[in-house]
Amino acid sequence: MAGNISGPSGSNAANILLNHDFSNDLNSWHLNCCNGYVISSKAGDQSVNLMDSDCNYAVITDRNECWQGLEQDITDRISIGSAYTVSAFVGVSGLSQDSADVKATLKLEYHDSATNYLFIGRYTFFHNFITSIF
Amino acid sequence: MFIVIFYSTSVMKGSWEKLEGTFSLSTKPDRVVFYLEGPAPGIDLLIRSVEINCSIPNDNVYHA
Repeated sequence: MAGNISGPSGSNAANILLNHDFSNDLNSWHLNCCNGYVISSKAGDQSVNLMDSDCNYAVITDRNECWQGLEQDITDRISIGSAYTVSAFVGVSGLSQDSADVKATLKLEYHDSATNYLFIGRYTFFHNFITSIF
Repeated sequence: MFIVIFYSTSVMKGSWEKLEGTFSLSTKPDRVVFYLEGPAPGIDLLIRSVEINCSIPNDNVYHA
């Protein structure tokens, strides 16, 4: 089952990710050494709403390492030589440092060689500093 | 001279930002996993939606 035909970017190409908008909880996704849950946009959801959003969204929590996050196996949906664009709407909660990076990465596993990691993109969140010099 | 820094975390609520990128593979790995990661421990990662679209198909190769 492919993802929606049209997503937040308005693209018309088929989204190869399953359950790309968390409308089916965390099905098809795997939590990598952390915990997570989906906050539903449905009225009556008693969860603490971390974001102003009318959409479902996933909260990935109890992370002890930077690399811990959410992943999906796309092996059977990738074609060699084709070019793919990735877009994700992301946020952070609990930012206590000056900045925090969210990264999209591909993990490429081979039976006969070491795993490779392919960096796709990054978004850096900054604390909102208001600085005045007297 | 005094430097006063005000911290505000309120802007973080409701702040969805778009992370973008592209990729293409020249060889077929045995397993391909897409994942989102990054913030330091203690910071929760929030994800509203993710899309991976084929922008330039290669019709001359085997599609798994």
